[in-house]
Amino acid sequence: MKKFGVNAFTDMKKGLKDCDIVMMLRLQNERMSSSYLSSNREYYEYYGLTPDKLEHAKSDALIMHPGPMNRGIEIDTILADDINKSVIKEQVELGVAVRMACLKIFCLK
Amino acid sequence: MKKQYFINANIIDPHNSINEVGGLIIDESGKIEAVGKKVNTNNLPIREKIIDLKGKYIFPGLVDMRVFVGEPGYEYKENFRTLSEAALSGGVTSVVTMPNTDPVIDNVSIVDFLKRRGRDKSKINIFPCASLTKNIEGTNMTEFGLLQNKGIIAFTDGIKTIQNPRLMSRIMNSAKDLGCLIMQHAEDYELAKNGMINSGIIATKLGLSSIPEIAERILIERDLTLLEKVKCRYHISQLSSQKSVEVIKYRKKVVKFTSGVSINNLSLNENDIGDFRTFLKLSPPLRREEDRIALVQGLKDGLIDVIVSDHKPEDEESKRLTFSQAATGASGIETLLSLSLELYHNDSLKLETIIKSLTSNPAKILKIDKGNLSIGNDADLCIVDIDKPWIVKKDKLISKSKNTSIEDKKLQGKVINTFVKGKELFKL
Repeated sequence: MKKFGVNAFTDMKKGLKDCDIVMMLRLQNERMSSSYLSSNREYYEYYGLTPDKLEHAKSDALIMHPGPMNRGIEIDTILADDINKSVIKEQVELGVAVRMACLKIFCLK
Repeated sequence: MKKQYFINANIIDPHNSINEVGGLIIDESGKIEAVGKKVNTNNLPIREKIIDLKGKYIFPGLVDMRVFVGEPGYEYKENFRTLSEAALSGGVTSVVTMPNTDPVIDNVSIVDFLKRRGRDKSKINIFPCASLTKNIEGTNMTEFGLLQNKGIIAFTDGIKTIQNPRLMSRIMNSAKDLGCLIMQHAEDYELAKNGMINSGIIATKLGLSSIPEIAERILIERDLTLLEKVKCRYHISQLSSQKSVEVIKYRKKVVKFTSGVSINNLSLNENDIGDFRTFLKLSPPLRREEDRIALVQGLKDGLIDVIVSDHKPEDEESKRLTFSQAATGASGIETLLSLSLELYHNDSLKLETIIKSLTSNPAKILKIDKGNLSIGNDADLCIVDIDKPWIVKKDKLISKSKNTSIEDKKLQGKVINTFVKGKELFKL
């Protein structure tokens, strides 16, 4: 991770300190055949984005997620739908446009 | 509670480096008010009742890191009440209980039950372990974080071993992130398959299939290799062979971990099995005399950190069977200290080393403030006549199960009184 220039944290609160944007990623349950995790509820407790963990980021931090979301696993449902903090819907909508644009560029070459 | 004064005791408290003749005061709230040579008749109030111990020993209450209790599921073998009575008679005031119950201690709701039972029925301090994997099946991890928050002190599959190295490395990763203590019973199942006693001349003579020492060594080597990459709190529950001691000696230079040994493996060897004595069917098995001596030396050299009783109560019906059918394990919490003192009386170990591996070392590994006589701490302690001779008789044992491995053994040294939180809960 260090070689990629990434600072990795196992304590989410420390990792979130002073962040402008918090991007959650989907827990890929379908690829989790052999016990990476003990349970979803424990994952949520330690690594799910919740209001109390978000307080450690900047006060105007934006929440992102490429979707589809597992509510109650990697992200709290209230935060996901919070129109003041979450730009997830816009991200997903614009993501389609970006993919369309990419496809067009590559296909025309 | 009235203040209690003791004088003329040999006080050994390795945590505070105390090894001197002196006294001890327990205050009204059951805490230690003063300890050491400063406490003597010259500075105690004359009108108070002062107990002269006449050279008897005061040790911190023992911390036993490997105890099986039958609750829930096997209450007929041992429950919290009988366990604590047995423990108190042996000077043990804190125990770490194994999760091999029915149901297994592997989820948050059962921990609530366990803590309630421990609190209501037990007179000693209970520190429960949860299993590493769900239902001790060795496949899926339990919720370390949530369980630890509920008061689980460490994680172990008890009598079982994590065989899958991939799972073990994930367990270590989780344990590292969450600061959990992992305790492994080291045994490779393929190498130990159907085994009952140590590989060697005795197994051949008795015609019993055996557990070679490499079954233990290979697992320790594997785990310690993984540990080099993922540094978590890791403890080997029990060592049993000379080779294992050599391995940990070498590995301790590279990576940090701790290890324990059962009092059975320190005091007995495979010859004691004699003619199929099933009460000596143990896990890990008793090995050669050379192995026993190496284990004692390991303690002396500080390579092995703790002595455990590996107290595993089994009813006689489970024990008095043919060797292959008989249950594994021996009851031992009551005789842990007396049997350990044998190593002092025969000049194998210093008294301080023994007490250290029964009190302050386990407490340090578990990160609990027990096993010491620090001022202001709960007065958990035992008064011991280390020379008093006695003979182990199973009908005199307090534990619900009488499967002692040392029936009729002559021992020297007996616990006279045991105190928990300043209350005298056992008196000989």
